[in-house]
Amino acid sequence: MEVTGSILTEAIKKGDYIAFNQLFSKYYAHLCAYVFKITDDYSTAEDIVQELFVKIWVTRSNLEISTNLNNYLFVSARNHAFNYLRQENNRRKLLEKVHLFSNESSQEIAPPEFIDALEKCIDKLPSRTKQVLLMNKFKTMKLNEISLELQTSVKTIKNQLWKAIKMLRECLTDSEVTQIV
Amino acid sequence: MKNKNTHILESRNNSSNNNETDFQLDEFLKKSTDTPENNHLLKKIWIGIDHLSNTKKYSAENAWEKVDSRIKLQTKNLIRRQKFLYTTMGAAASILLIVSSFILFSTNNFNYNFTASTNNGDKSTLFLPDGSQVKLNAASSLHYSYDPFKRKREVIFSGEGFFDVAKSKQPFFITTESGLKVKVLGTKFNLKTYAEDETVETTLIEGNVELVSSSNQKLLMHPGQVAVYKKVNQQLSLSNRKPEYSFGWLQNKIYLDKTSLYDVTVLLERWYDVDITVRNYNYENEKHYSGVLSEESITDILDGLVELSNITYSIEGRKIIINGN
Repeated sequence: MEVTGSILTEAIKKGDYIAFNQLFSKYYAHLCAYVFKITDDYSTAEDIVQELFVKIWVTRSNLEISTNLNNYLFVSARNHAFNYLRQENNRRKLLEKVHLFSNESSQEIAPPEFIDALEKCIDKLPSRTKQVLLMNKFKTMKLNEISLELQTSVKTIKNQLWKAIKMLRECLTDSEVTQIV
Repeated sequence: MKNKNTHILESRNNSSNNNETDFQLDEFLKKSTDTPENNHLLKKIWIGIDHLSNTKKYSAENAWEKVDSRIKLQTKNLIRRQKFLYTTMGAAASILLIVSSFILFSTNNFNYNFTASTNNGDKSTLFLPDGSQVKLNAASSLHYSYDPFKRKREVIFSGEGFFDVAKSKQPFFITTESGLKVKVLGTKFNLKTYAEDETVETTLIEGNVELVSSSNQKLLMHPGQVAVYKKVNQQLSLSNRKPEYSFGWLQNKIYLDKTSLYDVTVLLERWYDVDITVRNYNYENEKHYSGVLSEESITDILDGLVELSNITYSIEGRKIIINGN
């Protein structure tokens, strides 16, 4: 993954617009989802990430990536987002978010490959377990709301979720993705 | 007075209270007899699922159009500036150049300012950073600015454009050189405001816009209406002209509605990037043209005019001479 990352970077530095488009397609939604955790606002997150990509292209000849591409993009996006909060004069939110992200080491940011593999594994879950997980995480339903709809106890649902995570871990360990995590 | 850290702690406690009925991974991890590495991976998966659900709210495809058009706009402006540099000399020109580069390079992270323009014979579609879309007809220019502090979008516009303005709580102002202002909340409308024209025409299809003249006369428009602003006396009024005439250019059609020969030549100069000279024309006996011209070649259109009236024409490169008889 490091190899493909540096090939992409080199191509972009040389002015390869298709490579730039590939980079964009691969990372756009991931960077937005990440920046959203800082801005708490969907469209601002998009503005910030779009601005970042325009800047990457315009200043491509000076593009120097010392670590790996994944970290470079997420850390740049995070800094752009903090800058935005700074410009908005939202000190309280800025402090809160800096605090929240200060414990996160750059190694912990999951690359898109990991998230893609995770999505495939979710698809393979047994239907009941998958249903509970989707309701909780994708429809953001509370446990008691799920228990009402599925006519089961909150405890059963908690156990289903715990089971889901463990099954996902097994599935991911089987796939080669965990080597890069 | 509380210091900031307690504020932070409070807000974090609040959010965990809200999640009381939610699944707490840590509870299970405490009981888990797994290795720390395995537990770490479980946590990573749990955070990853949240991340995955958030990525579903974004579409790289739609966003690419915006990023692509902003990049092209910047490069196009750079090229145009370079050409400008080669072809002009003198102090006045360098002042202009400094002004335009200021506009371009002041595009810092969150303060969007840029200018886009089309030449004669050109059409172009622009995507504004706020999601609005503007189709520019020939010889038009648009300066966009966004102030993130005041959350104010502003456009200075000349020429003709079809605006599809994204819905937002903040109004969007368009200023024209004639002094007429258009106040917009999410709508679709056509605005024709060429500096050399005697009028400014606004045609609304969807939503509402409010026109404000420089003498502070106001007119709230409804869909299907055409408003005409006369520059000479600064009068603003509704016209009974058909609204679809205003959108003809989007389908490459020219609608003529009792249009004089002079106005037709101005139109053709813009659309086809040609110079038209009219000779020996009897303006007292002037004919006015009505009808629809579908854009084919300029000669087709000129042939049509010849059939309708007593004129002839000759073409030499980009120069066209029309002779009245």
